[in-house]
Amino acid sequence: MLLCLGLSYAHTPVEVRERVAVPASHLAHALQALVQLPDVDEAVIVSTCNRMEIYASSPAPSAAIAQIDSWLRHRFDLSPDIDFFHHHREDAARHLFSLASGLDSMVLGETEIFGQIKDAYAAAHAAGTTARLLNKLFQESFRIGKSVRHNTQIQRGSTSVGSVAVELAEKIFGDLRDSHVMLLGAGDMSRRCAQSLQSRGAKGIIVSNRSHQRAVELAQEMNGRAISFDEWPAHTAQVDIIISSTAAPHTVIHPEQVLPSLRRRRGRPLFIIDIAVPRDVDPLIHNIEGVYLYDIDALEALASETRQRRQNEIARCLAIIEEQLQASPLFQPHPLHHPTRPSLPDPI
Amino acid sequence: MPLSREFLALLCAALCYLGGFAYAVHSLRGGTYRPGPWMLLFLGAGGLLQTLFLRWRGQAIGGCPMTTPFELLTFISWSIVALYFVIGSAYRLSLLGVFTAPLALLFQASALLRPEALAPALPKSTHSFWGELHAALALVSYGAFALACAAGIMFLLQDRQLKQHRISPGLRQLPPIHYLTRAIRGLLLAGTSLLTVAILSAYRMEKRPPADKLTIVWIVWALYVGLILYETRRGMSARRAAATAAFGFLVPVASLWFIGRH
Repeated sequence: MLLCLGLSYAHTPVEVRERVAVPASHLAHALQALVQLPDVDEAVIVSTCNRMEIYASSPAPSAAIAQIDSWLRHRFDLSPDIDFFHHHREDAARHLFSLASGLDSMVLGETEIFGQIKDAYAAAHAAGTTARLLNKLFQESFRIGKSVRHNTQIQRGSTSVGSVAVELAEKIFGDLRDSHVMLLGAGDMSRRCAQSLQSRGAKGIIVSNRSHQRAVELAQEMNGRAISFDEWPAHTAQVDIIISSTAAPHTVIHPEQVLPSLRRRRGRPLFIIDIAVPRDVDPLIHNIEGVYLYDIDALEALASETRQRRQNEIARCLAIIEEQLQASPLFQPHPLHHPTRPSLPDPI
Repeated sequence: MPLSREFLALLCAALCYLGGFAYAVHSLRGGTYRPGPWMLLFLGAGGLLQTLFLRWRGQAIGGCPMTTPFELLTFISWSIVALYFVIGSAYRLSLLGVFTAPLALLFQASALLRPEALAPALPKSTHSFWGELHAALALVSYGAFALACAAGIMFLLQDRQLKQHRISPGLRQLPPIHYLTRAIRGLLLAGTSLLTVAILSAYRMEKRPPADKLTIVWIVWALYVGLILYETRRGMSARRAAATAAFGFLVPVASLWFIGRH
């Protein structure tokens, strides 16, 4: 019979999670130790920074849960007041399917967990601690996870300011490999935003800062070039994205600095990201055709909208999971038990 | 009266485009549209049925099947779909299908509603190479203008949302506006070049088309040449170019109506 047991960020602080984390190099050993327990036949450990969960099959799930609980407390020296959640049969499968769909993640709908589950299963399979039940269960979880993500909006859109900026840049320019970026101000936020764009292929980073030395340092770090702060208006015709985050107490980018370059842009749009507070860019610039200005509030509003939309999709995702769960061969009239061991009466 | 195989083929083609349009609208509203095999299947099947019709009708007439408004409208619908397969892949605009399907449907349905749609084909008494070239190229150029109109609408929808700091789930999947700008330019240039050759072909015909028809085509040509020249010389904004491509398409549509009436 299927069972799962573990803890996650939802109820367990990071001080505990970091103690029970199982690094990849120790996984095989931990998995072998689990299947040595008297009532555990198969085991998969999903260990990430946000959770540590053990999926297992057993002829006597309650006994197996007690054994795994005891093994965990002993191995990681955990106090008795730390509680593990546990599920049986359909509930355990439902939990895994939700996990693979990103419904149980800190950032709802994120995709990283899907790969982490795949890696966890691959490690267990390689260690020889999976058989018929867990093999089928995890294959089902990958299929259902993909189906949920494909048929709903649970992973659509961007949920952070940086990723919204990248998404907007791609909405405007498509492939960012042809896009050139200019940073006004050499602060940490603009650096991170530019790095996100760079990771999607943006090139030709130009850095301009009141302190030229700081601009030179940042330009070197980003394989770009530094220009003096007086020079930046002359470069607006060549760049596609301007990220501004100076510490100036007043606006530094005005329509009259952008307008002369528009004709030379030949219809190519200009995307300006203003992440400074107080704002660096005169809002009137947004009225110019072909220029799209987004300040920190506009970016945050889009990120928040996506987060809300993902929340609204949970019911649809759960309905798909439930439908697939009911149709799954895992829980049809002949429940899958371990083929080599007879079903024993559950002691509890 | 039993329906001819030609009429049935076009009816099925129109249903394919209707299916493609319904599929795209349904998917876009659910925010899950991905350009893929379904749209290609709908448009491909519709295009194939229209090709069959053009072949049968061409054999019956003994020339290019562009002798009646019914055939003209069908040929434009076919041109739009044929151009979609060329332009869609060239400009990474597979989502153009969302707008191609209703445009192709509009022209095909208009053709099927014509009174002569049920009439049998009449063999041509005379053939003119230049005349057929003129008509075929003019209609393909109209197909290019129709797709430029679709790309223009996609641009305007997205530009409006970007200016309002919103991205709705449906529009999130439309092609990037910079690709659309390039596609509009390419389509207008291709359409205008084809129309130029079409007009020049008309002057090589033994029996030249009536002056009022030629004047209408010259007006369409002047509109697009003016747009391209203005855009090249004065640096028109992408938004204005998109708006002109979208709303300017009313002129070729009106010219078709005029030519159809005469």
